[in-house]
Amino acid sequence: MKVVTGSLLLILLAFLGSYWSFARIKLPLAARHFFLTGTEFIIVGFLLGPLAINLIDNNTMNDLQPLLTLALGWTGFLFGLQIHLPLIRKFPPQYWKAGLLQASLVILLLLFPFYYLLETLTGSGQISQLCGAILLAATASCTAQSSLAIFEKELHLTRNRLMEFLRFLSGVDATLAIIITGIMAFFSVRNPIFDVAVPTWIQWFLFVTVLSIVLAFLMDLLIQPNTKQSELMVFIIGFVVFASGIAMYFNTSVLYMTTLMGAIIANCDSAKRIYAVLSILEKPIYIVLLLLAGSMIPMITFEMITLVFAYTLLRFIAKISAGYTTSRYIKYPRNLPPFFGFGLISQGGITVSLALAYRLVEPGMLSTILLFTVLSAIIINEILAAVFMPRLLRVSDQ
Amino acid sequence: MNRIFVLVMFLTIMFVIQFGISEQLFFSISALPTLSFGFILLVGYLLSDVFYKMRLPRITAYLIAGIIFGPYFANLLTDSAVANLRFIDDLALNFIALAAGGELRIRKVISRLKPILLLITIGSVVIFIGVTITLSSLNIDFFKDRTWQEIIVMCSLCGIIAIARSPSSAIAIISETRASGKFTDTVLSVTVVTDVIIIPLFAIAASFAKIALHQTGQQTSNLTGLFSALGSSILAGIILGWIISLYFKYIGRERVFFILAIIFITAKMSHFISDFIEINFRTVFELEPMVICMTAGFVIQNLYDEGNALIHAIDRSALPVYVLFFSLTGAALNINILKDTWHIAIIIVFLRLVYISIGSFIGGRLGNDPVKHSSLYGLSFITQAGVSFGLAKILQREFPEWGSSLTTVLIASIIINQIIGPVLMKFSLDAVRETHHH
Repeated sequence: MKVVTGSLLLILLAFLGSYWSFARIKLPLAARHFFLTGTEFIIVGFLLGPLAINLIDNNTMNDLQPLLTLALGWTGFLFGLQIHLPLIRKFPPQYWKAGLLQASLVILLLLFPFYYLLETLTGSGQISQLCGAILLAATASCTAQSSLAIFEKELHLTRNRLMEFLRFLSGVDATLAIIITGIMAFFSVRNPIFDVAVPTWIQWFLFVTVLSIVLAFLMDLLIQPNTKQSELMVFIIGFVVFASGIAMYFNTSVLYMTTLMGAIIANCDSAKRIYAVLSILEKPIYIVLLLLAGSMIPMITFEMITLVFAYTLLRFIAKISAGYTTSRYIKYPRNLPPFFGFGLISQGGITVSLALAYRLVEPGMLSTILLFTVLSAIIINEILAAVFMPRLLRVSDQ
Repeated sequence: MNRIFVLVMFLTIMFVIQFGISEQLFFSISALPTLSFGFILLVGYLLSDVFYKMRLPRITAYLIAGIIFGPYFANLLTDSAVANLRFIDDLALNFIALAAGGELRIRKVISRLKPILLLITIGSVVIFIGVTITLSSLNIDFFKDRTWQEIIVMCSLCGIIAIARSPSSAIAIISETRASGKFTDTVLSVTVVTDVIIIPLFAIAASFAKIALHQTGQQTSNLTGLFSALGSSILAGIILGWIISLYFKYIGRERVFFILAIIFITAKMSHFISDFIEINFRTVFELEPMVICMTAGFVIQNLYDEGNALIHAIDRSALPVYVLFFSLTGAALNINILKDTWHIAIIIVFLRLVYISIGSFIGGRLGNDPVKHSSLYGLSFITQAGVSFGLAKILQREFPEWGSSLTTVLIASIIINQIIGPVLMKFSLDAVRETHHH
């Protein structure tokens, strides 16, 4: 009767969780932030998984793979859809420099420590360790856009320049992380498409890029002003799952393909209509992503917990240091606080997607450990973010 | 024109991926279900546009897309991919069952109670007796070398399965054509109720068949188990309806997601409880997730204020569910069966069509329905699907001597009914002018 009791408990938890998440109960900021970002669903997923009541066992997880891929592709597509070139051009070049410098510094600072940590704690092969370290560094560089949006709303920060800057940085660091992990996936495909003197990874990079562009144009062609809302749902789900399926089939990155598709669509006529439908399902799909990610943890070891704490600590230090360095070299905006890295602590959705995408392409012990590390760090970082963000705003007189 | 171009492009991409590149390289086979999911969703819907222009129901297009691109023809959807998507298929079926229950409004049913009851009882009796007697009196090769008791039993089981209908198809066509009116309400009510009562009817018939053939067994305990499971399913449905209505009332966010999640938990728990009772109490106890969901939908619509909210939430997300469900159903149809059994299958389809029409006409007229409605009811009840397949497959297990060949023949006839049924139903809804066009 474990399943029955567990399920009833979970229904109750989901009820309470939703109630806390959506009804404006006066909880402390950290707790409110935790529930508003939906982080609790990682824990619910964990409870549903093999380590607790086993409602989502391995077979169920295999059956649910299309849904998981849909959720992953959806996140990438939605992210790509925000890359609207005319809007991006409005931001000053200094923003770009700051974003790229901050994200690159975090990745560079963390790559070697993570490689060493993985070697010490997991003892996997060199290539796997390198891929794992790149993934951890890339996820560490990400900042949750949704979390920043929630802070803006919760702390009544309308038209706040610092928040606008932080949100821009969070877009840049996620884009960089998707590109880096995407290229990493191309490197891991060993069979060339054509027997020519072009490196295999470039062949795959070109093939997937061209295919993404073709699919995006087909999608735009299909979605006309008179397309009904219900049809839009079929087309969007169909295209996202199809593109994600292709990426997975070729062992390449789901996020790279769908983000690229989204970025192309963002600059086409159908963008607004597609965005409206995508945003309706954004929250449920994000919840599915968190639930399934949480339920993919089959065990917890001492090494895994050590890795979580090392990852969280090193990421925290790297974010603050990279932020400080960036503030020294980039002089725009003028009043950029030197420790603005405190505002980039929360991680969020793209990070889960990156770790899950890797877990799908390279299933095994290492990718499971990496997923656990990232998920646990997200939970810790959401709480830390709620502690540090108000302080940063106070210090910078915002 | 754009849509046809996109359809052609999609087929080309899928052919290149499946047959152009994949034969040379090693790829992740585990991704095939995902790839197939996206492919069939898009191609099924785009193909349905062509059917729509020909004034044919879209669900026929979804079924045909599944058949054409499925494992028995083009093989773009492989056997394993279809099998791996079975879980989503089940989830969709329970979702449709919830919608079917939600569409049953007690006020409308009570106002049409007399014709509905007459259509169910007279229709079922006429189909059962008509199919059984006519089929057993025909001198066909299929019954060669069988004793007369066996022939009667086989034909009566065909007669029982001929009563079964398809609520999922009915609800999909009603939703697609946005049909409403007395005729539509009656057809839906009769279809849904018949599909619920067919399960115990079949169990009783199978028990009598075993007694007639002197196959001893635990018939009584099986029947008791079946009735208690059916009762428990209805009770579980009432509880589920209460939970969903509470959620809609007090939280009301992400309704579609909540419905899908709760259906998933219901299906998992049904299987778990069934297995638990079967193992620990050594009795057959099959909780029916479809009956649970249908009852839940009915309860929400008729006992709480959240009925319209439920229908609205389901309507918003129904189209992808229909496309996926019927395309996968099409892909799972082993049409090779038709090659060897088409002649006997056509006889069964024809007899069923005739007796459904006669029974429905008598039932409709006795219920004081107009002649036009009474003569068109029969055409609306032709489609068969999930439950019919399930019952036909039980024969294989229960009557090993001849059950397998009878199952094959019945599945062939269900495949035909599933393809022609939606066309006939749409025709009858158009004819009584209850579709959106009118």
